[in-house]
Amino acid sequence: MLRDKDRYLNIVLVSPSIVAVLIFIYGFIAWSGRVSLSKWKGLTPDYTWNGIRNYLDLFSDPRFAVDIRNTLIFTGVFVGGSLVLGFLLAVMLDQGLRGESFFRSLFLFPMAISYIVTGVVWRWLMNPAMGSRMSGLNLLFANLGLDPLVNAWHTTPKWGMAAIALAAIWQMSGYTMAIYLAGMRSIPHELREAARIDGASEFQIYRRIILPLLAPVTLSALIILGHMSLKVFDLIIAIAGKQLQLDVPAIYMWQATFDGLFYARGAAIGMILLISVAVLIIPYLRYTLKTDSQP
Amino acid sequence: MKNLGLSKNWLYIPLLLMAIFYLLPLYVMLVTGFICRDRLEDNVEPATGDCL
Repeated sequence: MLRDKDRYLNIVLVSPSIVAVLIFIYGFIAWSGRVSLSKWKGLTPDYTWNGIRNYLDLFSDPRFAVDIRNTLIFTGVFVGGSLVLGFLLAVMLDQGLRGESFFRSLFLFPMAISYIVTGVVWRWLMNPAMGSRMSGLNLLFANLGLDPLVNAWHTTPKWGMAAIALAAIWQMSGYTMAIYLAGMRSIPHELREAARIDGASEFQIYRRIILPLLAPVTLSALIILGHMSLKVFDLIIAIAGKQLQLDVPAIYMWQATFDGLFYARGAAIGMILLISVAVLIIPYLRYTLKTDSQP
Repeated sequence: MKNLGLSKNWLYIPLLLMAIFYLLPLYVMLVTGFICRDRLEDNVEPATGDCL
């Protein structure tokens, strides 16, 4: 048990951080919420009450509908691709091969690179130019005789977001591999041995034993990758710039707020992003806290 | 992998293919540091410096 004096000291030491978090995180969230309910347009603050008008306008805005569609495509391809690729890589590395640490480091390395650098490199790789100016992956495919794979990448109508997601998969699948591999290593070896004695094949062991036991790992990866994809901004800017075809809510928020000075609309988009991320994160945090507090 | 009738060494084929997928952008990152931007992008003026 802490003495009263120690308890008092602890509160004093922690309070500056708590005050900073309350002001700079929750205070500014509340301020953004207030701005989103105002008529602020232009450089001069205008807190005239506008109710939920900005939100209603957004949901009837065709550009915001494109943003939602693009976000869904990006999230589906990115999260699905990272989970599948990460799991397959972890299964292969779990076989105790020679050179495992080399492959593990290689697959994890892209995570150390910023989204902007990844975006610039993948913009060069996914250059959609054809003919004499063909370069990057298209040139590689053409030289290898894989002409059906030559495509317009992120300039493809409708599915251009999937090409952007490819760069994100390259960056984050190593992370998924690492957490799946850590999860696999924590599963007692006796379980696999028992299954083998019962006549289970390796595929059945992974399908019926390993994968269900890795459900919490999958959930963690799903939440982390999911909230990253909802906030994606820099990767798209680095690969394609500001294009309506590849627009997402974060880019719309930037343009509405800083290019168009529609502060109230920008704040409304920010609040929608916050709520969509919170819908993912809060149940996960509650689940984690609950499982951590169990003896 | 024995029950699948496969030797573990076969796993090096997909692993090496994946290694190429991960290494290619890193290679491009390294090599393009020495290449002029006008050779990479359409909308850039031809360079006059020492780049390749």
